[in-house]
Amino acid sequence: MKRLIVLIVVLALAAIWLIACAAPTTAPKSAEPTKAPAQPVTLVFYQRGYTAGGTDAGTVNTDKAVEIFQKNNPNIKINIVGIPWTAEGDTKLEAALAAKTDINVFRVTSPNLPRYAKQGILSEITPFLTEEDKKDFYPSGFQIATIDGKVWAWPLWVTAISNFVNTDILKERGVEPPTMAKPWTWDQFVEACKKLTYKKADGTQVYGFSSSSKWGAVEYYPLMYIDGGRILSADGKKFVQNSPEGASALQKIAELALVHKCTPPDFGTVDQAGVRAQFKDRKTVAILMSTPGFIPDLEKENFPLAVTPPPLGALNKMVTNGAFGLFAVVNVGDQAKLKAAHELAKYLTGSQVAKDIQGWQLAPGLRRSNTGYSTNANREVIAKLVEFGVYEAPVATSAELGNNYGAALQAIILGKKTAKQAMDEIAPDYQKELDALSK
Amino acid sequence: MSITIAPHPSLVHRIVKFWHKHKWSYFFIAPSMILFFIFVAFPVAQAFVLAFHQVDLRSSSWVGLKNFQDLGSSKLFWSTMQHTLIYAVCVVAAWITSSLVVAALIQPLSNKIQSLYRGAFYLPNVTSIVIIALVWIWIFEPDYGFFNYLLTLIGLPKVLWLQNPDIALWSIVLSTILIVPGSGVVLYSAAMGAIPREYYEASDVEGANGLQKLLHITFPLLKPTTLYLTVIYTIAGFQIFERVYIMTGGGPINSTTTIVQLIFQTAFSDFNYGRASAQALILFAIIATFSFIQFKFLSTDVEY
Repeated sequence: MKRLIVLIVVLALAAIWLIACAAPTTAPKSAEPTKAPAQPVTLVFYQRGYTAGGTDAGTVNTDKAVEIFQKNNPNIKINIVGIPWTAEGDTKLEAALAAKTDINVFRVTSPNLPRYAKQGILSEITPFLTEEDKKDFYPSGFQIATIDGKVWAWPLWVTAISNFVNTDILKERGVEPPTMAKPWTWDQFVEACKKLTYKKADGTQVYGFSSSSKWGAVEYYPLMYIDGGRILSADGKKFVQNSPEGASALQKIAELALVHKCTPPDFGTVDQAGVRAQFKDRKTVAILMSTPGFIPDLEKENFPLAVTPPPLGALNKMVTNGAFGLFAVVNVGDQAKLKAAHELAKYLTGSQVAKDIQGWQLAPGLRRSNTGYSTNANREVIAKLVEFGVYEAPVATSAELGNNYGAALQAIILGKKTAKQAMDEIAPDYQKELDALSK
Repeated sequence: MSITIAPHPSLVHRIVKFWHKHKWSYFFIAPSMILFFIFVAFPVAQAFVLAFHQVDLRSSSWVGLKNFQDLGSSKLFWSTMQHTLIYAVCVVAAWITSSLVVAALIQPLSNKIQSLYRGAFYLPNVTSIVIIALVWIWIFEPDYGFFNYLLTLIGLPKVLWLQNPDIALWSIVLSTILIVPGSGVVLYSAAMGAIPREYYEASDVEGANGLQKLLHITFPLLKPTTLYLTVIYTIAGFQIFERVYIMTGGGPINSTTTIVQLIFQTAFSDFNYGRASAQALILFAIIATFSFIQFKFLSTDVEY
């Protein structure tokens, strides 16, 4: 018994010692601000892909941006919390928002924006926009962040999708790539893809065109809009892709594989990593429809690249699409904090940060004044495409509907259903959810 | 002669006595029990409660059976159940058979060689499922994959193993059953080794042939192991997730989406925790039912 008591006392002391070691140490005092703070404010900034102490470009650039912002706003202190670009990051963010922990500014993904806005999580940006800001932003930038007539996030950039061309292959096959001034028509595009589908002398099969097209992939989406169709009506209240112009564009995409046979056998199911490997490493794809995120990889390897616009369809107008980078501000009662958070979000999405930090702009900005992305001819094409963007109104449909919609697109590309048939089938379910959301 | 009846000890007295006798036992299991309640029992109970709620980020409301009713009318839910059932039935049957056959084949070998084989068959169990799935993606690759290479060698056309919605699920089943489960081989091997030799000697005297010995001695005496493996493999079969998530992501055309993947999507893409909990509860009920049926038909009192 005596031994047992001694053991317990030792264990208790060890536990106390461990707890004492784990207790947070006093945070080092920040450097004296250059200007005395009128009303000191501390913000918590949830940044995707950020790792404290990390040396990757994203982390370094975030640290620099925050450092500059703090220097210019000595009364505002920023604590950065890094979260990954995965479901784990989504869950951490959701947990932080649900627990009402300290979180003021965060990168919001377009699919989640409507849900957060409707649940009262976000602070509207309109009161913090100056007239200059309103003129500077492209209207499409606000379109993606507008729910029920209010703008809920600061638009940073759009990953405007374009066609990446392997110039060596095109040269070998005697195909002249299109330009912004002289884009291909759909027929020219098909002819080129057919010509670029061939077997090399060493037996390697090359395909004219491909794009990430696994369930949930959006990289071939610009082709869906070329005939004038879209998924939803501009106000987001009606499903309209079963219209003739919506279905005809989808049918054209399917025919690239089924009729013209100029896509790899896995077109319709291939993921982003797979199709990029086909284009960059194996060089078995001549034209790849993809996002600007791939550009740095290609540039690093001196890939024979030309960025070209998507082909024109019945609409006879250039069209692109892509995902938005958005910064949202959490609605908090403390007005000083709210104002400071909007100031930070504004800086992070402005043209000044692109000037302050080289490499900040990973995709073209959504402000006319922000030209930080156009550092060479290829990037310039992507930046110019921004003004031809067609984007869907943000609606928070269910994952199940997203699943079924993705499956319907795959069914079209794999030739299991015609575009009209697949879209007519999904239309009632889609409309039912849209109607429920409108209530 | 008078008989004195001792007074019946009161409840408090019995509790105090029990506490004095067992307090240290409870003290020592307390850490693991506390962790169990925090990380297992509480989340399970919470999932049960959530299944009857509509959960938003900062609020939740009681919706009764609505989440279950919605699932009843969801085509996707039923198709995922169907895929999961097909996968589980095929995989359990194939794994039990293959591990039994392999264990029987290595049984006559010397102990050293047996250990070598057991180790070799167990190796995939300690390999990350992610790596195994990536290897299978390469094997099934339409242009450069190993299977299509073999097909072209014998003049057959290439197959879109994971791209054709009619065969993608079967390709995943194939990728699973072609790996003999090491745990099954080890357990069957141990169970076969524990069957007393006298039974076989007696059957030799009676003139039984190999098949008769297998059917009337080996199989019945392996029933407890078979029950254990069937239950374990059924649970694993119904919980299939990583392999599908990596190899097909549930596609093409939702032809390989399984129930756990749907739960994952509902919870962590849609953040609809109420509906995801309802899906999880249904999965729990199905696994419990299957396990009950298996216990009913395979349980045995045999001891040897």
